[in-house]
Amino acid sequence: MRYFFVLSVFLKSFYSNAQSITNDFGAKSKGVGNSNTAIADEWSIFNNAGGMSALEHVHVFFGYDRYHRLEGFDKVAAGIIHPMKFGNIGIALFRFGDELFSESTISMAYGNKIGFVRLGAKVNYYQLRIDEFGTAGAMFFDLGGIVELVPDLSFGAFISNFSSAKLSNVERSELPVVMKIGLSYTPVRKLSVNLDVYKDVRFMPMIKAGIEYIIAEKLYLRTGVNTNPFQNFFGIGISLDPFNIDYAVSNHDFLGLSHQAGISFTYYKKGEK
Amino acid sequence: MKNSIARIGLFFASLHQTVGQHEGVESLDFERVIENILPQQEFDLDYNDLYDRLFTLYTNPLDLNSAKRGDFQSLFFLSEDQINGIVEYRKTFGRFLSVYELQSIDGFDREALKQLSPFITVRSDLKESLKSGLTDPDIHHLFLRYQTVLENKKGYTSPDTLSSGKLTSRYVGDPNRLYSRYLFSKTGMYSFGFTIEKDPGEQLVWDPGTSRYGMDYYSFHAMVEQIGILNKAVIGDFSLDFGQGLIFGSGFNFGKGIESVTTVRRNNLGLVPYRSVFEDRNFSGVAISTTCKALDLCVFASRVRRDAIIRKDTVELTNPFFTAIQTTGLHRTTSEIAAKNKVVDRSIGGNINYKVVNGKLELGLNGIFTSYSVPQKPSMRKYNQFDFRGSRNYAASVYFNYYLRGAHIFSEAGMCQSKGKAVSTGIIASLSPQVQASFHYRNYQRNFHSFYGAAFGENTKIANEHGFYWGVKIFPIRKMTVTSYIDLFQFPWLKYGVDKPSRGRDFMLSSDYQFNSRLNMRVRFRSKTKEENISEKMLSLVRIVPKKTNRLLFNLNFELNEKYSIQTRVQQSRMHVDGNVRMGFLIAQDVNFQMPALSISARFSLFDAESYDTRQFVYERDLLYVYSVPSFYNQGSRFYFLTKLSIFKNIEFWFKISQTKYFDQNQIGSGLEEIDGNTKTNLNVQVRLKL
Repeated sequence: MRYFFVLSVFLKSFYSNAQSITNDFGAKSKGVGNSNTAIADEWSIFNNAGGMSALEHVHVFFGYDRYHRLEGFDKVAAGIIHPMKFGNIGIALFRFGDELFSESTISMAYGNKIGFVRLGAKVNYYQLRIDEFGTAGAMFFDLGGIVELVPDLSFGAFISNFSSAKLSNVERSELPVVMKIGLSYTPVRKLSVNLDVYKDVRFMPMIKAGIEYIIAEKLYLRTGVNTNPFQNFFGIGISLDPFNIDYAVSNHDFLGLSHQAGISFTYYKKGEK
Repeated sequence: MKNSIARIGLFFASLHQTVGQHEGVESLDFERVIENILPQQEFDLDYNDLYDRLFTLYTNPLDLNSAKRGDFQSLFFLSEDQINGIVEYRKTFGRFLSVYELQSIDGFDREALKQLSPFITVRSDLKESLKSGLTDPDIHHLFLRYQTVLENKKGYTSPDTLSSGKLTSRYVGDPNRLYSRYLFSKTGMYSFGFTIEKDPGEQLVWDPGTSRYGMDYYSFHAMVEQIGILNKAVIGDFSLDFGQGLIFGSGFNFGKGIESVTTVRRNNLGLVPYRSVFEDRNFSGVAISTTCKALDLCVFASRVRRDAIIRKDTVELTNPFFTAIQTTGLHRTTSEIAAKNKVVDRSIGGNINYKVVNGKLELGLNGIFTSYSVPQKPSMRKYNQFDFRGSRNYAASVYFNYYLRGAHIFSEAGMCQSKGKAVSTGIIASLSPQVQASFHYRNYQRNFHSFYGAAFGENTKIANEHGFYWGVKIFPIRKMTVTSYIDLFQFPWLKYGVDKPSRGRDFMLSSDYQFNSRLNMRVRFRSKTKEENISEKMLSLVRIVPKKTNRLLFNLNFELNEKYSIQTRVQQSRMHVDGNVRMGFLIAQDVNFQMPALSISARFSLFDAESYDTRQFVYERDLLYVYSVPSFYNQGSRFYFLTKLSIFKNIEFWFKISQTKYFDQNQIGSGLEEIDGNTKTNLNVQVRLKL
């Protein structure tokens, strides 16, 4: 048990590459290699709060991610976005780990379209819990935006933890500061191609590329790649209004396969559909 | 006749455009203008002088009717065809009535005019007397600037006591930088100005014994133009640009940057008042220039004090000498103060420039004689044995410029007292409307000594270099610009840190795509290889190996509307030396907001560079007149927030706060500059009073 605990913390700290504070979530996003910065959908509450303002209805969504061969690396997330007169607000919950080591984040987000720009801001409370060591927490802030540069070409930028918050009672424990930017190009309605650059200040910069293709009405195929570390991604999505169901799988050299599934529900008011 | 009718039509057609567009031009912020034309550099080049020159032109645009070829050349983004177009147009049609007449010249489309318009104007040709001119200056302003670092550096802490009982070195002054600059000028008539400065760590003290008189640095100039037979007469600080910069060069030009074609040429700006605070380039004294028909003549006499540590012969304690002139201009510690103004540099010289064949050929002659009050004797090393030694040097050069249709051929050849020779020669040509190209050859012998030159090359000194440069600028399709250069160079003698003759290569390829007037994307690649020493720890031997640095940059610029613009940069560098690889990376996001009375710029960036060699350079907006390209390595984040406010009609106010935070360091800097902690915060404030 002790051995497993040490191994688990070791693996997490070396390979999980800031999975803890998530800036990428959703099976829809994972299918395109998390090249999500310029994408506006309900998962934007995790990926780039700027995209939230694209939603016109209430959305409720849930996702679960786990490695095929590894225990203790599970990720669970859920959220709700509610359009208001003054913009869209949302709440998101995220948890990584197991009973020995876990990280949880609760976030409040606000997104609005101002002029040409979709802007979003997020306030997060993060808590780290290690069995037999106790807990530590910190508040941190995110900012993001998406703008259409020319028709069919969108650009997004997102900064997480720009104030570089520290854990309340632990020395030298800055939470990761992350910046990501991305382009999304939709030459025809059926096809979108994304290219992102992702930088966690502690790790090598990553390039994330992805393609989504609508192969048949309401059926989406996705694939993507990442560098540093190299990973492949594949995904599929089905739209069964008011539900969207997505699944994605990725392959990591050391950690092996990981699967993610997500479901999103759109609440239409009477007569709106 | 047909032409003149067309011209009148064009003039009226452009009238309402003039009104509409000129407002736009005036509301354009200088920072925005400069970002459009100055390369978004990722190299360690000092563009301060150039920035200064562009700002002078911006506040005081060139008159299309009276500007000379050299003036247009100094707007480095103009092609040879465009300059020829203006000159020919003036010859054929006489005076320009409006800037918008340029549109009828080949090579000036809307974009070109937009780029050029902040720097040109059309003035009336009425001659004003000096007396009435004095009441109506073009520029009359005063800048006051304050800069400081909020964290305490080691130099400002109390000194430690060494075991010998001596105290360790500390800065004598406070950590604030104070700067003020005044200018009162009218183009073509007069210019009067001063600059005063105190660097961080310097003391405000009156102590003639150590050449300290209140502020640390003073510069002043007074210039009158067109008085009697004199073209210009300057008293005070000035700089000279003649030929290709072998003898006289002020640094108003690029190194190898993105402007791949015109960068090889030095512009004959001639005599210019000196307004910068760099304390090693200027002349100080009297200079006059005069024009007699096709002959231009300029002569000067200068006396400047330079910083150097005076040493004496160890045996007899006589024969004072110095090893090197210190050019930092910093006088913060007792040893720095002891070096201040210890060498007197007296120079006299001049230039003759003669135009023949309708101005298509220019011939010139430069000469300078310099004497130091104390001889320079660098300690003998293998690499520096051909450097200047002694207290007197003279140098002379001949040059020509020849304009042949779309081509400009130029050359300068010089020689100094030691018989060291130097030649800089090149051609810039507009081959077709889509293609501009240039070629440059340089050969600077190892014993060529020029104290005031600034010629094209890889070394900072004009010596020990031999190289070939090719540059092109292509417009393959509308909206797209491709620029590229390759520079092959050799250093025929040893250099500091390179124990054998070495060679290198510098290659750049850059592409700009202008989607529309609001969106621009740029991708640039640069690869540079140079040789340098590597010490073998085991054998106490030194090997010389190539060091290759590749840099890649992506830049996106988008104007959302009149008020908002965003900019994104991603840049990466990778250095290969002796089987080792080092990486560097930077990502930055800017948001800019602009209104007539208020503008705000903010940036957040992350950087991560494994070594000093892969450090990331990135241009930053700053106070007006401050050209800032900080570089970063290690892991960290940086933000800045800059605002400009026009409170009253005549007062502008700038405020900038910036902070760099390191995630893998517990201290920043070294020596007396060391900060104990992982953040560094700069605070800059500036006021400009328009008088």
